[in-house]
Amino acid sequence: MGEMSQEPLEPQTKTWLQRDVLFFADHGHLFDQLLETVSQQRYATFLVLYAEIVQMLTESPDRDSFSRDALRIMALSAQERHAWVGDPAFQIWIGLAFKATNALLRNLTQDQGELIQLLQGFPALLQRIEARQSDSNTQSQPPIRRFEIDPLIALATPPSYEFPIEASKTQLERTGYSLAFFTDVATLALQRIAQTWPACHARFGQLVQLICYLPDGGFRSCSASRYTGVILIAAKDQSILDVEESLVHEWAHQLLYHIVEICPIIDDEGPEASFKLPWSSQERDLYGYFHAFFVYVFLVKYLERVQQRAHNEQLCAQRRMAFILDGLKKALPDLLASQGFTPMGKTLLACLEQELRALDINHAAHPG
Amino acid sequence: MTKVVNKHGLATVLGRAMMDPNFADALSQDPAAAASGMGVALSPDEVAAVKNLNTATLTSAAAAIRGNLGVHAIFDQQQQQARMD
Repeated sequence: MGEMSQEPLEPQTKTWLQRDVLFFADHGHLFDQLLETVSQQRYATFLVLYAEIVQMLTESPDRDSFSRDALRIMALSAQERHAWVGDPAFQIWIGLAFKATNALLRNLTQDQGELIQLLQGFPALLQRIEARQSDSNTQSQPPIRRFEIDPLIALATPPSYEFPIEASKTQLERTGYSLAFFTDVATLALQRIAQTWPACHARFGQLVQLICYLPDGGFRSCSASRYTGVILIAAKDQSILDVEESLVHEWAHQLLYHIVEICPIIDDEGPEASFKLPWSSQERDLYGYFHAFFVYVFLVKYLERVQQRAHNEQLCAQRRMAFILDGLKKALPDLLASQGFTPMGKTLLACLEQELRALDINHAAHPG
Repeated sequence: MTKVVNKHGLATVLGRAMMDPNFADALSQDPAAAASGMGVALSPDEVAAVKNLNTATLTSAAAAIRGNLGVHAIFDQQQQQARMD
């Protein structure tokens, strides 16, 4: 849901940030608190949506069935609700319905067609989620898919990626590795993450609910807050270590999406600015620049844990870490000079700065 | 007060809670009693739906759904974190 709910929960979040923002994974209770707060916010949003829709669509024959289905979810235990409301497709549905309801409440449109269409699709959405939940009970890691994607997720991914129409699938299946092979590779990479940073691995599936293998994607990996919980991976990694990095990289983005969901870090009214990422020279606004900075600090924390590997791989990890650290040091002054952060954004940046300085001292003292 | 079993009673009760933080607190603590004060009888499922509800998040979401969603509103936001390096 991105930054839809704008009221920040500052006191609680500030406590987390000051205590150790990057290491939610190593502090299970903080991580659980974050997930719990996000879950409560998502549920509250669903309740508000339900109340507004039911009170507004008094003439629609679809209102009663939506009301029944919604109550079925609302009557579940908090833990079960968390699983339903936190499903990526459910979140996308909430986002779309929220926007359509907002437009009607604010008289930006009189046409209820979009919202009614969403209500009509709600029972099918619940059936798809139920089927996925049955499957996930037998899986120890997030599912990896190529074409078998929930239609709502496929709707949300452009412009990151446009899932192909049926006729193009056969042609595309010939590109990249087979899904089965990539699944083996990703499984191996996740096993290595488990050995390298067990706490991060233990939390991986709580933030990443679906991995899309998209060898024709125009990126190395990709995600967005409008489809939180889903990560897109192309076929551009050169080694298992690269795949580990891609997975940890995207996991860290998911962590920041969760933080931002309850506490915006960028001031919408702040100055517009464009930056070049030191690692790829891509252009980013402040939000994107900060996201990259956050994730790369996290990656250094991963790569410094890469120990007891083959000599070549160890060397690759050290070189990569030096490259990332170099970029972080270049980016830091830009971020510190920016006027575009909220107070919580500034707090988060200060934590990252402190962490970066410690990493820099540590790795300058022990290069390689 | 006469209690009305209304199949959309929960929406009515929530609608008030969204506008009235004190009522929201009362609803979260004792849904049946709070709803009863409005003349609404909640079913056990409806009670479960709002029991221990986080009222701060409800108020926040209620304000957002009627407010300007802003530049970062979902689906207006073309932002993505695509990594090329």
